[in-house]
Amino acid sequence: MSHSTQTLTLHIWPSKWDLPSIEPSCIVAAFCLQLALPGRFLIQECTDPDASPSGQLPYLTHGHHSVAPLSSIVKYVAALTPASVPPVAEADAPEPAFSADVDVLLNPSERAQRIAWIAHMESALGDLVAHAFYSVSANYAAVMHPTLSSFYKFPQSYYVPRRIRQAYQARFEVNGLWSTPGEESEVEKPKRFGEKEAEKDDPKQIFKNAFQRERVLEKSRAAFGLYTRLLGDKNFFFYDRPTTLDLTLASHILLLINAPLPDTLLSSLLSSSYPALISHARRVLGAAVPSARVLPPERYRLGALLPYPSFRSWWNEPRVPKSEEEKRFERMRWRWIGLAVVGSIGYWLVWGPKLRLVKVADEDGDESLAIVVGGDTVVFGADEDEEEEEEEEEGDGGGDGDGKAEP
Amino acid sequence: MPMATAHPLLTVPPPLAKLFSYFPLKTYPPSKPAKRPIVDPLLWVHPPFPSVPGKESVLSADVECLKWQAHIALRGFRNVSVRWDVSQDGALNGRLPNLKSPSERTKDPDGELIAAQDIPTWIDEKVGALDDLEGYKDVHSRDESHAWIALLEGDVHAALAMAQPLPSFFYHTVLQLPPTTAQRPVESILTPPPAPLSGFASPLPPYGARLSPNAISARYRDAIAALSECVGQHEWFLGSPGPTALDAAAFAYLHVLLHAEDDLRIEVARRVNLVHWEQRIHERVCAAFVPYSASQ
Repeated sequence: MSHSTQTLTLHIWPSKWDLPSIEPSCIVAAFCLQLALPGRFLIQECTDPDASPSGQLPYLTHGHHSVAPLSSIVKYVAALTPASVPPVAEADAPEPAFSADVDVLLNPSERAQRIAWIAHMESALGDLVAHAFYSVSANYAAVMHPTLSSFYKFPQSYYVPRRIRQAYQARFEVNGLWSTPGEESEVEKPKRFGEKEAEKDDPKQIFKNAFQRERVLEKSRAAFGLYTRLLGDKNFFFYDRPTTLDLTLASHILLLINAPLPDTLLSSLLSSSYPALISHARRVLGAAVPSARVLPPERYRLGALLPYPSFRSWWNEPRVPKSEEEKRFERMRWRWIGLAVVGSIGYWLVWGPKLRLVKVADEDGDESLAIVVGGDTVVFGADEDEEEEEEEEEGDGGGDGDGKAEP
Repeated sequence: MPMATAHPLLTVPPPLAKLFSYFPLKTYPPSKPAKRPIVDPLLWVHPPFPSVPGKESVLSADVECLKWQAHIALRGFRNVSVRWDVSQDGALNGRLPNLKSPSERTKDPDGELIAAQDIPTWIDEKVGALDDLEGYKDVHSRDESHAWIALLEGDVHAALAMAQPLPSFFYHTVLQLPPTTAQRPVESILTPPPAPLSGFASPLPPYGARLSPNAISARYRDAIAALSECVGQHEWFLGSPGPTALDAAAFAYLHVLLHAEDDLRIEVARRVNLVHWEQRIHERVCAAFVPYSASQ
């Protein structure tokens, strides 16, 4: 929670594997804030992406503003000045950067190139990282599923990790990176006594897996080769200072090499063929590792089960203290409502018709209930014919007195 | 010994036979459609944008088809026929464009049908393969072209997909008719993919996609601004000496955006250099195609 309404708070997935978070966008956001506004923001480890305005983490809160996704966060932070964001604690506030815009030194042509390269990295590297985490069954079962499940309690720990994985399925099926066919859904029959286990190696599946690994390797080599040539022998892409382009590349590379994945296809490729990218990533980590204070993790709330994030965000948004005029207006409003209710009840009691329940006996001696409104008699439960006869008798002035109301 | 005559077990009752006699069944000889041998390349694409009679366009309204049209035109081909009366269900892999080319190996008068991903190979066979630089001025430009193509196929394509009208509930859900356009869903274009509309944490089954139109629009505006900065006053993107694959892709997107809804079109129309560039390439690409006519 923010210490004050003006404190910048970055909500990201929890830290893991010596990294600020488990998701590339969250790491980029943390790096960006550290470079732009060191000592002037807090980190809130969050496991509820539904609380974000975009439905995904990271998101940034600053007073009454909530900003998401990452591109909007970077623009919002770039528009701030260190003077407009007070330090969280005077004691550990380092010297502020001269600008909150991490890319302030870039000219228009370089900014255009940065936009294009970031789009390529988010697409190519983002697919590779997500494929390694969610599409490869061994990695998902051994690392990602236990990690995500540990963030939640019952019952969310059962279905939230699977939903996060399924969110990538549509994109990977188009790109051909989805490697989890239906064999996971097969029900294993119990082995009978003396029966040998049936061999599960399907030649078609073996060829399919091998073909897909080759495809992933080909995409990886193409992407890593581009970035290696772009970086060359420089420390960073532009002006020997990390920019958002360096942060984007480093966040993806760090996740591939730090995460303890059992399938080390990509990390081995990086280590063996592209060590320059690993060095660059570690250099960026050294320059931009967040030193901000990490707030205690948010307590698990059953309200997170509500399906309408807008309703929850409305319910949870901090209430702004009301002015004296607003309080007076609210008091007058409640007085008016109370006066209307009391007046309606009073009018009904004083001038309203009086209702009485009475018993009416007919010719056969059967009793029925009747509602007496004032001095009139309304027979409840009698036939229409009897009512008409009574009306005629009343009109003639005669009658044998049947149907008289008895109090 | 009298010969046995065959009597059918079941016979049509006479009244019914008389009724049938009023509707005689006639069998006509099979009619075979006249096959014209394929002598020139014929490109199957999605239909072009609606235009006034007499000024029909030969450029497809689908960005994927238009990319290949531009690529074929900028590689120097001329008099390529184009038709848009073929449904994508009849195309290879269910996706257009397809190229029907005279077959020199099999001498089949119907020619051979080539899928979109094999068109570059066909082009290289006809006009010769490009060098390692693929038409760019240096290796750095060739590498950078991948980034620009990723920008076009990512941020720009996402904005274009968002602007497509939603399929009619009646046609799509009640009548179960297939969609008329071949657009990819936005969920498969965005990275990271959007969260479900019901949220990750709710116990409801996931449905829908939680899209952020403002964020997509912001990235689209940045992408168009970057494209304008990249082309500057150059004849071709990245200052290349001649047309490249990046120019073909950029033209396809710019042409479709200039026929899109106001928000997308205005953002491109503000960049005068992009509009002039698109008009110049438009004339060159149109000159390479002729509408297909069955009577030719």
